Amino acid sequence: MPDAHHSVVEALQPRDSQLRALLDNSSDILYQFNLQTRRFEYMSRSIEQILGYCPEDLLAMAPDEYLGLIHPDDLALLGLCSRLSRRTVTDKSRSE
Amino acid sequence: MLASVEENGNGQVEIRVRAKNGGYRYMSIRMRITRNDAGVPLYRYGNIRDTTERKLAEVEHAKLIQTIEQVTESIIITDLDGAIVYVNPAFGRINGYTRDEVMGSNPRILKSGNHPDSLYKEMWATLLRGETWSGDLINKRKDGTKYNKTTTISPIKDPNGRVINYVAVSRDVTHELSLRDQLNRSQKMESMGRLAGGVAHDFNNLLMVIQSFTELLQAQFPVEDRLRRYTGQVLAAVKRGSSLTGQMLAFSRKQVVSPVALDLNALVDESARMLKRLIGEDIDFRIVPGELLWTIRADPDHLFQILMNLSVNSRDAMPQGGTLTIATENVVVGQGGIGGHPLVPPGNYVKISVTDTGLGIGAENREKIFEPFFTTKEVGKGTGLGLATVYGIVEQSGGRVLVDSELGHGACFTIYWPASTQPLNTHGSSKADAMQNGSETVLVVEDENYLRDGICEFLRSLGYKVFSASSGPIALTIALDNPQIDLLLTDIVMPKMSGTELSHKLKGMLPDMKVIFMSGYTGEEFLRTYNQGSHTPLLQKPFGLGTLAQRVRDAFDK
Repeated sequence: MPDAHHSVVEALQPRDSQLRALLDNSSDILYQFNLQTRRFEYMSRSIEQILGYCPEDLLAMAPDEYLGLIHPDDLALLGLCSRLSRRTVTDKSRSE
Repeated sequence: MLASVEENGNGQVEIRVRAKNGGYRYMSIRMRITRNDAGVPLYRYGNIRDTTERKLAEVEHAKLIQTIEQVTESIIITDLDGAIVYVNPAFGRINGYTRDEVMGSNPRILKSGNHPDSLYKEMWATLLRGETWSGDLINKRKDGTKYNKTTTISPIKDPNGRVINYVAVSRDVTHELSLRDQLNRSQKMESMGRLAGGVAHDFNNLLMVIQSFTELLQAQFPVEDRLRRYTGQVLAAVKRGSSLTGQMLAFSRKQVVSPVALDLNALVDESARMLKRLIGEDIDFRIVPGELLWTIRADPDHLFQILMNLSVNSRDAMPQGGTLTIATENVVVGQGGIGGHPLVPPGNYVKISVTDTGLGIGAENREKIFEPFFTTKEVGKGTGLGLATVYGIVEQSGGRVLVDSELGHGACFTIYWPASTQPLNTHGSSKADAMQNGSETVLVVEDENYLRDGICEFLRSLGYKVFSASSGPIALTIALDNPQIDLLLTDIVMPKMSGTELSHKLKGMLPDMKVIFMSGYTGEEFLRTYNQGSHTPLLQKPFGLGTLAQRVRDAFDK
């Protein structure tokens, strides 16, 4: 099983590194955030230039840690975004 | 914070995030949510952009706008053709136009017509060279009234140095200018007063010499002698001359005043008959006395002079007849003065107004009428000292005189005389009697040689024993050798030692000695103390020998 997994990752590698290079060279910060675990799963390199943190710092942070970086006055707005994002959206609720 | 987020969580927000160095930066985040087929959210993908620079510029801009909108200076921005593209609220507060009324129009709507075209040409030439123009302008408000402003107009350039707009920043200085004018005027009057006072002083001494010797000369001739008529003419001329110097002294506020507490209404009433005769039949003369008028402290002769001078002016302004009204009234002046005249200090005043329906005074003359020797009358008709005298007397008493007049609409002179809390006195005048002889010893101190000789000669002729000194120190030496001095008759203003200082020193040696001061012009210091009530008699130069004889006698007998 580990071998199988390993081969898949190897197979993907060339495309993946190209993609990463592309993402990491963007002047914007790009990220992927898992709404179930509430953790960052990807953070582009450009965060280092803009805010000074390594992407790995952010990936390792628990929710209370990264929320601690947000200006206290803006937490309410972020909370609203979070509630909307985490809703289960069915066709029924869409039509409401 | 900027935010536009849809129900499903997609959208954009702007938040502040703390950077590793501790400072917050503005981050604009675009978010997209992915969900599985059941609609359960899985991931949020985000794109974060640093908007700190833009945000700070926005804040800076808002602050700038807020400042421009709230300053008291008017700010106009025009395009290159001069069409207005922006005005701040102060613009409208100053000239009455609303923003909408002036948008797109040219600032020339504010032109008052007071400046030549060359001024505007020069202004544009400066601006077209890309330089800043500054200057004082008279502009016109929406309601047509004019105002003074100090303006700076600058070209606004883009980063390439190209002029894209003009900005004019102006401050309304109308009030400051009027205050400055009033101050300048009062300083000018002050220096003219000093000049007039100085001239009057020297002139008085000369008049005194002429008068004394003429009187001595006259005494040599028998009563029926023809030559007595000549000396009489000289004395009459001296009298007219001394009345002139008297008026100059009044204007220079260096006059010795004998103020008493008096009822102005009573004085106006007493003067009415005389004034009526003075202004003639063609003019309707009215008195409107104020009720329960406060007492004032004033020299009744001076007040009468004021009423007379103002009435004569009014009469001359009404050659075809008219109405002359003298009114009195109590007035309380608060902080900020009297309607547009901040120079009337707060306090209780009795107001005297002399109003006529005559020719009025044009604006160009209104500023000068209180200056000595300014007259609009024909040569020989007026001395130009009438209003200057009024001004001097009123100012010396701590009051103010104001004039309100338009050409063709009559004139109103208003005097604010400080009210007094003193009880009323009755006033009367004492007349000098015939020459009175004596045998006491008099020390005469006067630095004007001719005058001193005349006085000494005269006193000797009355039988007094006389010592003569040309200065204070000489007088002191004489007193040391002759301790029998009964009276010191001394000038006040002298080099080396003043008359007051001399009298003080001599009094220490001879406590029973009497003192009489003589003066034509006195310093502020002496006047202040003297006018507050000194018991030492003062002879105002030029005085007649009869008066001198009387005062010397009085000094011993009273």
